[in-house]
Amino acid sequence: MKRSHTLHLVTTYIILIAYFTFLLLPILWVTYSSFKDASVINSSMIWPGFKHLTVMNYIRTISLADFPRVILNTLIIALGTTVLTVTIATLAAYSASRIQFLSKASLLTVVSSQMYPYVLVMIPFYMIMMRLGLVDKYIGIILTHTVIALPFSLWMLKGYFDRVPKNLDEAAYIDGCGHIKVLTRIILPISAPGLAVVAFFAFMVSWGDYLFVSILSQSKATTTLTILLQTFMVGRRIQWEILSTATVICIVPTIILFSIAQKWLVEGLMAGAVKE
Amino acid sequence: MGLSATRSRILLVVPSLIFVGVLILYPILDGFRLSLTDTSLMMPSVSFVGLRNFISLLHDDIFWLSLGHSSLLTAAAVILQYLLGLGLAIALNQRVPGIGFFRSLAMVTWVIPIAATVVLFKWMATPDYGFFNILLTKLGLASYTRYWFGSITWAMPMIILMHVWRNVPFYAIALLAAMKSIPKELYEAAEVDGAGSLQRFWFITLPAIRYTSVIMIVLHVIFTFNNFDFVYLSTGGGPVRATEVLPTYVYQQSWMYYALGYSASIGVIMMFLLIIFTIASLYYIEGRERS
Repeated sequence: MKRSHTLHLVTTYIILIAYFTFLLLPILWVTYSSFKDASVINSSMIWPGFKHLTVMNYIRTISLADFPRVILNTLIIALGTTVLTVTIATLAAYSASRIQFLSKASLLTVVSSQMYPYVLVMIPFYMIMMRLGLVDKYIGIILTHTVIALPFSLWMLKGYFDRVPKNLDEAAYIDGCGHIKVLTRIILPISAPGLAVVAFFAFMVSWGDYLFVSILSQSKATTTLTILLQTFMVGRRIQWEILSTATVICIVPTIILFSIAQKWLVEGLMAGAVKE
Repeated sequence: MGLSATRSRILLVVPSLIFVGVLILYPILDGFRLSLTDTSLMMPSVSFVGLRNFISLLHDDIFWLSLGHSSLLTAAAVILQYLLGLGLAIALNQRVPGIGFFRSLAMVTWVIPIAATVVLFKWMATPDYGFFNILLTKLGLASYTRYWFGSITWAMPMIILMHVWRNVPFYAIALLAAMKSIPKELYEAAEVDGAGSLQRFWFITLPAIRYTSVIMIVLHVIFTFNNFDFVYLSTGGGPVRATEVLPTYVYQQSWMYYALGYSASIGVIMMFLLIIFTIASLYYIEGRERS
């Protein structure tokens, strides 16, 4: 018994280490590369020695003329998308959760919108935004990202709201609370993890989007980080020390937010998929 | 309360419904409309052409090539993701010290932006000083080093690898959640009856995770088939269209040739194929769950 227990432990760890080497190596390698100085980044030495490790790449990347602007753009668009998505998804999910016929309709909308080829809806989006004069404007990109993030957000939040017993809000109505009050005082506090997951999800959708920004952004006024990464990647001679640094800067916020939302993330992602 | 409560709830939802309705349904309906026109960014006039775009598609070799690549990419990525995800789920389901750490770390590949993932893999696979080639050289396999993303043979496997890398943890975590909801008594009873661990896996675990498995597979077939970023940012569909997939072809038709009507018709076909696949899968799982 004892021997088979040890064997089980060792096998499990070997398998886990194999998996996590595969999963973490690319991230660690790019992070490590971002600290190598330009003279050794293009070399086949795996360990060039301490004297070649530097933070100069970060200073150089941040002082690139467009960089602060790009970070600011990405942040404004991602935060705008987060606020708008959470607000609309909350209102819609509350109604969908409490009104029978909306429940079915919302499921249908969500399922079908998950099948959208984004390259197809991108065309009408572009045409609408052009007509409204919102091409190359924050608000045009924020609205687009919100639409992309909304269906799944709605689905997740509805899953959370469905779990709040209906007699709780009915009791509150009897005590004279309005709907907004029921929502903000009773349902939202209970569903706080759901809100956190939706906020995280919306932020990720916007922060990581390349496709829609590539069409809707046409100048430095709205360029985001993913676009910048792409322009670094197609250069004639790729400056890997700058590219890997910019990539780390692009990844770090997502990992920080992930470590905060991680506890509820899986539950939230599966909330809509769990069978009643 | 009754009616008035319902009415004010409807009032509450009106703004969000309008937004959801107009902004979610409008683009897709407009996409369908466009597919029946010859809309082009090059010409101001637009006319209705019926199904002409779809007929042209039948004779478009690159459309068929892209459809083939898209199907291959989707099938290969989803099968590998499922098998590797299942393996990781089983590993994460073992009770060993520190397992919580592995569980909480797993999803990290899923949250980082796809554009960043592409940089990670292009950097690992860069011709001269990429990690893959350095490693092969150190192992004495220098003759196997190559420009991975620039190779007609290897570009597609690299794209599949990126899809697998990103999504395996999501499968694992979802399947793990399904496995944890299986009552322990089932396993204990089976053990008493003399079932080995393989039999227990086959007869208890697999049926219990079937529903989650189908949902995950459907979600990822949709995601992979529709995904534009991985291919466009890593190879742009090349070399010589070796990795051209439907999303990159649509993008090319739209923004390089400005043939919006024609590219919309390709998008409509993509959506149509996905709807058929999804309905068939849901029909299958509903049937299995009922029996």
